[in-house]
Amino acid sequence: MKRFPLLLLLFSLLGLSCEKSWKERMRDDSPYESFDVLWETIDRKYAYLELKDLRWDTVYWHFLPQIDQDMSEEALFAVLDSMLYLLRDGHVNLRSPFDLSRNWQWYLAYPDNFDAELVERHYLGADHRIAGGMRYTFLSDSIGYLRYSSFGATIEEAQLRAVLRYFKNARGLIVDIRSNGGGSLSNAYRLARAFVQSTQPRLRRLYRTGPEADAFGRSTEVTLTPPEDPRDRFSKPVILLQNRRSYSAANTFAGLMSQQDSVQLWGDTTGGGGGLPVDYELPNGWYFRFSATRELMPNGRDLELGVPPDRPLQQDSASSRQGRDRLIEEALKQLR
Amino acid sequence: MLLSLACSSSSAGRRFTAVLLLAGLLHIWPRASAKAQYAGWEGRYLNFSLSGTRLFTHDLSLSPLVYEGFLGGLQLGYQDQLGPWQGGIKITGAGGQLRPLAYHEQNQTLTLAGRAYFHLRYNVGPWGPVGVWAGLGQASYWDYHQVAAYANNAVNYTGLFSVGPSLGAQWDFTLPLDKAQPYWGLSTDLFGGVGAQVLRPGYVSPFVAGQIATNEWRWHGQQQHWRARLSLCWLRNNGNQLRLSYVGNFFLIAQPNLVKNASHRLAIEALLRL
Repeated sequence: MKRFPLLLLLFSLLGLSCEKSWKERMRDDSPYESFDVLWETIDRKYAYLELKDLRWDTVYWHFLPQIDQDMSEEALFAVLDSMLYLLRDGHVNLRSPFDLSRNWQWYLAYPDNFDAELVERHYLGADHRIAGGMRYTFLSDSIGYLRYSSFGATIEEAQLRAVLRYFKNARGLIVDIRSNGGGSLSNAYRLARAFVQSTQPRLRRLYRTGPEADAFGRSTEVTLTPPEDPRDRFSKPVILLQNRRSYSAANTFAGLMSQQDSVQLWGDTTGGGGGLPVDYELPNGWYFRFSATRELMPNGRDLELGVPPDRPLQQDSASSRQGRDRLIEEALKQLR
Repeated sequence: MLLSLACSSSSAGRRFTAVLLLAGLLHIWPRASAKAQYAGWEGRYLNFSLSGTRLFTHDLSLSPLVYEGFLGGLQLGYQDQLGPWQGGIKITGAGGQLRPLAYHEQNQTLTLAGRAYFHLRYNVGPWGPVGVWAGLGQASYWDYHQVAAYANNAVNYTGLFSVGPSLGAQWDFTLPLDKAQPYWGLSTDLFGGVGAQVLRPGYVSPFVAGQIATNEWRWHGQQQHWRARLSLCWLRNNGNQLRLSYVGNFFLIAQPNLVKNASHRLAIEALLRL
């Protein structure tokens, strides 16, 4: 009984002693530890190892000999950069104080098919309208043109309503998302709703639920409902212009638009970027991000692979010399 | 000063704290009487408290690094001791910033923490001069982190709503100058969660379809939850109490991403007798 105060004392000091050992164990920021955490996080959480047929175990044993306890930060970054490059994913980056690793071959390896200067000077003109991130005007023969360069620019319902009502007498509409690198999915859903004619599940998002490569135990459906007021929908023919730099949320938007009968996709296959990227840290304090979910269209196509066009079309040098955008010109011919 | 020493990461600071506490306890121990508990514990009380918490969290859905920081907090509560029964509820809100332990300058993380603790205990008899109570406890914890450097997974949270046994003990004593009656006491309790409703981010995403990704019941083993409190109480003649309390918390949730959370909270509490 006389030990009661001592027991209390020991009990209250227990927490303090635990703290020290915890701290000491968590301070391993060696190159090996950073390499292991990066490799293991990709192994256990990255969404596309199976889809891309990557043998990640082999990757580990290939790069491990290149890690050295005394290597410089630059050298470590180069090794980790090379490892992540194999994922062929624009949503994968490693961020250090001195560089950002990336694989941008999803668009650098393909023609751009888009010249923003040319489009502004020869098609949008000086007096086009701007609502949020949308720039729009009428081209010839009552054909509308809507340019949206980033899904990071918010679209408000009132802005979208104004745009659609402006185009209420248009014979058709060209929606141009070339070189739109993505942004917010909610903007993509909001804009896509304007072209949807019926309520249906349009996408299925799969969430990885465990470390096994095929553990996608949870999924949710993305269902788009058309606006109740018919004036807030556009049901006439639409041509969506896309290129390899149409990425991430723009890629998802193209996937949604491809399911509409009134919409045709022209240009190049979109760049992909179907997964939701999430961030993480390495023990050495660097950040990285990676795709953590998969998105599938109703036909089973994974959006990471990009959305192919209904009509493949490239900008040609003759059109460029004449100051013309071949994709817009062809779309105008089609919609007349 | 005691707070800073107790929370000091240096072993010298902790040793000094230990010696101070030990000396104090050895000084007052011979004066403990074997008589029944002082009646001044009895009554209904409103509880107000200011606290400082040092929080450590190692959350693999957030980072491989341990995050630490200080939270300032306010507590409101009610407690009573009526005959053989002890009961009460305390609700604490705290806020502050956590940073990685290893790279303190980066990834500043806003943290909001909510705590509620309910207990109902019955006196199971004196143990010498110490009164002992046993009963049930319920501890509700909610930690919310907003991670500055992250985008789609910037929101990180842990909700833990545990139930389990609660043990309490209290002991009153007289200081050398307080000859007339005991004016001081030590009060302690220990809670261990047997089962808990757990709210956590999913394996890769904070939310699924806008909902909290993991929301399920877990038994001890799939999670652990411990709470311990030690209070030095000054029992005033008017029935009120002033307390200096230390509360240690630890919880662990294994799936879907391991999270370990430990905190030391030091509080000044005022108990107003109703």
